[in-house]
Amino acid sequence: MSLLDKGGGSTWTTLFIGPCYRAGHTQGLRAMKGFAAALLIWTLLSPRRAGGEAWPTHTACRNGNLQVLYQSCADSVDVCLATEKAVLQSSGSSPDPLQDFGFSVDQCARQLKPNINIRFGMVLREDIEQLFLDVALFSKGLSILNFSYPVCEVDLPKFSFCGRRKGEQIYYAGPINNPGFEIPEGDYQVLLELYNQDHATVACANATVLYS
Amino acid sequence: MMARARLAAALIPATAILSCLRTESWDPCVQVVPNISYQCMELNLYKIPDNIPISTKMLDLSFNYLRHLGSHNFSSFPELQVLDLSRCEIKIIEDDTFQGLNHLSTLILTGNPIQSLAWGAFSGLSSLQKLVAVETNLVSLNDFPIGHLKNLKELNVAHNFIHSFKLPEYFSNLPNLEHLDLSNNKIQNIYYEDVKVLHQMPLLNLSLDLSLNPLDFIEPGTFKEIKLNGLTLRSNFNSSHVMKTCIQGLAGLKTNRLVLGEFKNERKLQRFDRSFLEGLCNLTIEQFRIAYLDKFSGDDTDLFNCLANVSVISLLSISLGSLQALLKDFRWQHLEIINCDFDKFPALKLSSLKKFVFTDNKDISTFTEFQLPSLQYLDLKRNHLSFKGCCSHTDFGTTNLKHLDLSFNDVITLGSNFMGLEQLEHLDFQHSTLKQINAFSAFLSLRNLRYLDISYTNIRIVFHGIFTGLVSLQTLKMAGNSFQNNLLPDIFTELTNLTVLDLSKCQLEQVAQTAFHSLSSLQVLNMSHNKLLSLDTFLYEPLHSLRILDCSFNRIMASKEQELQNLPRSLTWLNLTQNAFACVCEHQSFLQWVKDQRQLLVGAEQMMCAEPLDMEDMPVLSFRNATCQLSKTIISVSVVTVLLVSVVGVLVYKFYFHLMLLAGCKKYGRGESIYDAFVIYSSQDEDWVRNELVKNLEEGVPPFQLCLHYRDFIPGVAIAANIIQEGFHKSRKVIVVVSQHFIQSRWCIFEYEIAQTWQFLSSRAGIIFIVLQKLEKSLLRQQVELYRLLSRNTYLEWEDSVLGRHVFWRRLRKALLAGKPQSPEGTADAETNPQEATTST
Repeated sequence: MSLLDKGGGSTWTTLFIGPCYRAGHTQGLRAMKGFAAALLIWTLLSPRRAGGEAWPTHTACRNGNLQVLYQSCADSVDVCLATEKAVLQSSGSSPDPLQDFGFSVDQCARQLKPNINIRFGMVLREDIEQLFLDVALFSKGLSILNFSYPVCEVDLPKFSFCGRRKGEQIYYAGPINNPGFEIPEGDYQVLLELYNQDHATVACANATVLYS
Repeated sequence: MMARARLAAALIPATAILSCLRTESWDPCVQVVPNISYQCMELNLYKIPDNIPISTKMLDLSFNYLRHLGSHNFSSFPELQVLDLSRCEIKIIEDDTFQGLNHLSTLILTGNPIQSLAWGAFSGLSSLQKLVAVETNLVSLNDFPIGHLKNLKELNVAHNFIHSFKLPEYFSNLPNLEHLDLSNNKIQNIYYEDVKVLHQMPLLNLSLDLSLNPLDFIEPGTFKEIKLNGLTLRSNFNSSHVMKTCIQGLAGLKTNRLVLGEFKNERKLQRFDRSFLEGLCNLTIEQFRIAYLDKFSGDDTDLFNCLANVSVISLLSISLGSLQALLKDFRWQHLEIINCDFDKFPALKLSSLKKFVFTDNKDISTFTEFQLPSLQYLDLKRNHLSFKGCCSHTDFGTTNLKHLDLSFNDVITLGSNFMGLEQLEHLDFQHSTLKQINAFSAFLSLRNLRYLDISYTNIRIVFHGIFTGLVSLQTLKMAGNSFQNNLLPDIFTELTNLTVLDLSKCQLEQVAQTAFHSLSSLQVLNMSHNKLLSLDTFLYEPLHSLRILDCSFNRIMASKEQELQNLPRSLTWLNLTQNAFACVCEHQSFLQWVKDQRQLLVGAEQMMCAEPLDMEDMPVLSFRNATCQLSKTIISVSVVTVLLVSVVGVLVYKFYFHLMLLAGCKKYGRGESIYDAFVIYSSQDEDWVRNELVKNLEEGVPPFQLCLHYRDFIPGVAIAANIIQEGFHKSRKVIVVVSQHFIQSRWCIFEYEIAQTWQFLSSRAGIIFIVLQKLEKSLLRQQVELYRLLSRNTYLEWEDSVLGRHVFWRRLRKALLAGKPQSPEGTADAETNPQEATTST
């Protein structure tokens, strides 16, 4: 199942970040070919790639004065190889965009509604018998908020993707348990990290929220 | 969009070539354990690297492009036990691919779009215990060639396209099968025929997961007389009616564990009522778990009637309308209620309940007493409970409690000292707010307690008897609290069995010298995130069993050299990172110790200097002793230089006149003068003149030529003429030796007056007064002119002491040298500029 072919009529903001995503035999992403190619060019031309190490920064959402930028902070992937892989895939039968996970959010407003809907999909590179989400919010280098949320626990897992192993695809579409609030003026950095029982990073993103 | 695609197509080959330039390496894999374990994940491999050793037991080839596995593909690794081939784009697996892998116990094929799987694909895998074939396009178990894998324990074929639950005949060949994961497939119907093999060959240890299959129908009687270890059916049913009939279809099943319900993200049922569970009366279940069913409707009093004989029951996120269903006396031994939106604490009456877990029920704010006489294990964490007068046996109605967890709640006020709860072994209050802990020894009666966690309970420890009575305590966690004056007092005296102590984030600045004296069994001590200024190793000396010491995130600058010997010998792990080390020569021995103890110090590379400024944020290990040697050299060099300079100074002082001579006085001439000075003295002082003045000036350095009447006056010439001719005319200076006799002597006064006149006329020679002895003022006044001169001018006074003589002769020599013409030209200068010549007198 593709990450994005359930778009419906709503205005989803789509993000692709990180290393190669490979759905292998799945068929759904074929529709993404054009988008993938555009994204590929964009990523290839991105000046940061010349440096080799960092993932490209994506604009997650832009709405008036509000802007959310995004970058994968997964560290273990060789960008050069990822590029090659993307090249091979986009020229082959199953084109995939350059990313290590796919993520989309259904709104981009200053007034954040409670329980916003997200869609998240990735191919696991680690087992997730247990899965934890760490969120750290910084402003001007100072830590404002830190919390850890257990997504998957061993006993009676909450979500259907819990317990999946390396190589499996996971997909989540639904609300996240966030409170509604108004984003105050300022620049914020949000570090989101998903890690498993061995503390290995499953997915990681560095977001910057600019609201002026 | 098309244009972009074309641009991409143009760019692709170029980038591909570029990116291939650097990937050629013969050893791309990561050696996890030498000769045993290799990790080749995501390395763009099209075949297995050649240089993997033959002895390899674990090989991870996931995320590569193996694509086609031919026969004897892995025959060069006969020792393989674990082989991971996840996401390798494998489409074809030929016969005998894994032939020769007689030790292989785990084979992972996740995420491969297998199109062709030969009948003999898995032949030879005689030891295989675990086969994972998730997302492999598998359509039917019948076609899966695993019938010969007699040792198979776990078969995971989740997320495939299997439509039929038909367990093939070959299952009778798999007597050890324990886990069969068929979740996320396309199974709709389950018929009696499908499980026929289980009737013939019971697999008592089998746990079956059928979650996320769109189950529609289970033929009644299918599971009659069938025994399973576990059956999981989550998010299977599209409607409550289907669920009800399917559960009825399970009639006759005996299972150790039955899991029902849905996943949080896969909700299909709109409504939930007690009729769902009615079918369970026909099942034999030991453990029952149900998750994520909400919007319960109707009367729930009899909800769990069919589960009266279950021993373990877990409810996760079940919205029960009321608590009536739970208030009967069932034979349950373990009850878990997690995240169930209760608004009241259930007044349970379960006489046989031993373990009660009631967590994450956010709407409950006050604890109410209950009666559970058999209860041993009580977990009440992550509710919003406040608890007044915690705790005694009357609160829980039991005296058998061994485990009590009240962590992550609201305010817990300690009101009684655990009366009747002396059996407690495990007590956890972390992240709740503890009140009244300083009022009395609350834990006094807990002589069996082994584990106590009061981390982050907002307490400020003042009372030193806080841990009195905890003689069996092995683990004490009290991070994130504080102490009076930020000083850790002597509070652990009774905790002689303590092995783990966590004192991190306690704002500690000081530790009492005897604080750890009784902790000879302590193995792990966490002092991180405090405000300690130095590594005071005397504190840790009594900890004879200490293995792990964490002093990271403090403000430690250094430790004294002699103290470092005091660290316990048993220590194997010491963390000193994130401190404020002073990388200065003063702590050179400590810094050397850091280098020497790299084995002991964890993350020694991350230990950073905080000062001096030029070493800020540099690794401590980069501190070079040479810097200190350099400064030593600098010090010694400067000492030597100072010494030398002073010696030279002394020498220059001492041989000032020699040097003057050497430097330029060779050229000195007396000009037209023959003598350096004409000495006017009373004959009474002749002894002094001969023995002192002549000897010192004429035989010293530089040698002066004096004009002395007894020696230099030409005989036969009038005294006055001699005085003028020989004395004043041929001398540059006049030395007047003033004494009692001088004043009384007519000739002397005469000479002196001529000298004055001469000086006035020629303006050339200065008069140097030497006062030999103290003069009587009355006498001196007779010579008004002399008196006036002596009171206005500097004169030399003879002092018969070592220092006095030294000073006297230096001054005299200087005075004599002054105005001495330096060269023939200088002489001319001196003559034209008489002012200069007389300045020094």
